[in-house]
Amino acid sequence: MNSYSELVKFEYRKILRKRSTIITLLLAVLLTVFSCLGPLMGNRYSNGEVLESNYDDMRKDRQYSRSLSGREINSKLLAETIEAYSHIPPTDGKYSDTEEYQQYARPYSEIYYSLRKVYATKNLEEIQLLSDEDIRNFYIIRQNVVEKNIEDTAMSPREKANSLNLSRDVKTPFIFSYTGGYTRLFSQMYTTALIICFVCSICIAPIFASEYTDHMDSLILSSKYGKNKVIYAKLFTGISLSVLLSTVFLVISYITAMIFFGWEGSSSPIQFYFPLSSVPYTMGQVALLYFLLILLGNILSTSLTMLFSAKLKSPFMVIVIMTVITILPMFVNISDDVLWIYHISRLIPVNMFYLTNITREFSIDLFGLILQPYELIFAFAVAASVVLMPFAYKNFKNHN
Amino acid sequence: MELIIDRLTKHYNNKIVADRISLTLREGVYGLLGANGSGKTTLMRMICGILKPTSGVVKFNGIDVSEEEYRDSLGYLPQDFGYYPEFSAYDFLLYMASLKGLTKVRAKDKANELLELVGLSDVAKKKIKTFSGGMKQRLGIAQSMLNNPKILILDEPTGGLDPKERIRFRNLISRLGKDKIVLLSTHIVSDVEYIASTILLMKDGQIIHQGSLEDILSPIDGKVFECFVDSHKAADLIAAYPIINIREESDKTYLRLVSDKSPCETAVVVPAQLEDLYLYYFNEGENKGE
Repeated sequence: MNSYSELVKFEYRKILRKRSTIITLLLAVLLTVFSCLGPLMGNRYSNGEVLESNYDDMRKDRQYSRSLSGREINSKLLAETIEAYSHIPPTDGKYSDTEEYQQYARPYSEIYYSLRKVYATKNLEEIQLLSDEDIRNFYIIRQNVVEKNIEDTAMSPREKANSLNLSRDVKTPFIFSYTGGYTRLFSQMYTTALIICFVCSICIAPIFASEYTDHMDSLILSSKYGKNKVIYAKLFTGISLSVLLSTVFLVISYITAMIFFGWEGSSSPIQFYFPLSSVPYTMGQVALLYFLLILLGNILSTSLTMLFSAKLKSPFMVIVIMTVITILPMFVNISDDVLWIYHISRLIPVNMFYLTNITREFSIDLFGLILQPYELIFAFAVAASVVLMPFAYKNFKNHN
Repeated sequence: MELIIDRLTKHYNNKIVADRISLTLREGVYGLLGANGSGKTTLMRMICGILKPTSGVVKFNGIDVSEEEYRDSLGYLPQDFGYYPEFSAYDFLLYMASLKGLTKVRAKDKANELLELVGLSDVAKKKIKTFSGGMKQRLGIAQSMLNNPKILILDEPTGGLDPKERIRFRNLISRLGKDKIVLLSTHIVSDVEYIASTILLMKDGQIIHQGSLEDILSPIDGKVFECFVDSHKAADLIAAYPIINIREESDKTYLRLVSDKSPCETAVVVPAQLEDLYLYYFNEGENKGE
């Protein structure tokens, strides 16, 4: 154990002493913080004139939302919202630039967002046409839309039944809360996941390959632990570094989003972000599942990186291949008409990073076992990583 | 203590780089001599378990080359010795010691001792990337001895060392040979001549001669001649015999050559040296033959 921990320590030193690692990490931290705070930079304009800075804009919205926090979303609040929006006069430009919007409607913008999604209204006029009964039946209508969405999918009856059951577990009525920190986090996390993926590729690509380029392979492979312990140490270092980097960058994203946008809202339903989502989870639960999804996706990506590193003998080639594997699927849009292809496409590391793997209405019947897409991804990421590692091990051990 | 190499063969596609090599090595220094591409490095890599042979076995005291216990007895300095540029010499030795299974305390002691032995104590904390070729080579030698190996495989260990360092290192190997099996390959014939108790001559993937210096020189004993001739005669002799040495002097050409009988009237027999034998065998393609 002592020699094993020494070997792991040296593997970490080899990685962390590289200038490329330090530069990559610094750039990645800056990029993560910048991508979190991007929406706060610059100003909001109306007719070419500065109305306010984006930061002030966010603060004002946050203040309005906080003033509604704790209120149940019921017919009274919905009616208030519709009434507030009725003040907005017809305009050729953006209605949000009108004084009436700023004065009456803006405090209700978050409620309006849910209304618009549930009633599928296209404009302000359609909102005004909603009847009292429509407003009273907000949750019933929402559930009907959710169930119709489930029925319209290509899922099997068993899968649909599971998704319907899940959707009926969504607790109503919703108690409104400001969730700006979480919604910012969710919209930014994909970028963070990609950053982590690239950082891991760059840092871990040399783990085996640089032994070949540094001509250290002969010395290692002829040493006592060169064909066993040191390979285990390298695999452990790769996976643990991936976990460490994923955690650090996810925590940076989380803390940055929460500090600037607000900490509250973890127990609010995810339906404040996706009003028609069928899953009965809170913002906090979704955030946790999303963290796990990104973490496991990156572990799988790291396992692939280590396999290529052991096989290809050049860190640069490993980085190139991992970049292609990461970027290429982003340009391929796979429809959910043929669900099994869609679900398989979601098992590619970069596609694992979509929040919709948690929030969409799909269930998967896998040989009689009903799973949520994210559960399948979790299981696949772990299993594939476990399967890939012996190949990396053998490739290095049998390197001639 | 016995290292047995039995019918060790390595093919690359249709090319045979090691051809049924069988050797039994015991304590002592073995000098492996051969031209580039003769298969020396391939043989050494197979003995170190880095290269898988096409057929044949390597065993040390009955332990197969693939086993951890075998590698525990092994010290190796490869020809293309690598290093981590960002590591200091001391850190590098500690890393190699952990690979060889030394405890932390033992590793520190051994690293200090070997740095002293190879004359790198003053630069122990400096990054290896700042080292000269000779310093790197000395570090390589130090790492090969970290685990006090019973088998020491040194592939071109003196390349890059200046004459003073070479002699120092030669003496060190000589001492090590008392209780270890030391197999060293080199192009520097004098190194082998001075320290090897047994010389192995390798050509085209085969060991063509093995034995002590006297044994190995016997095929050319009494066949090495020196002579001073004019330029016309020199041209004739160069075309006809394996030439060991040529030196142009003011009006004559000095030649050292190998021949079954006296090549010319002025030729005198001189004692054969290992370099004569080496050039005799490995210049065959360039010379016309006896």
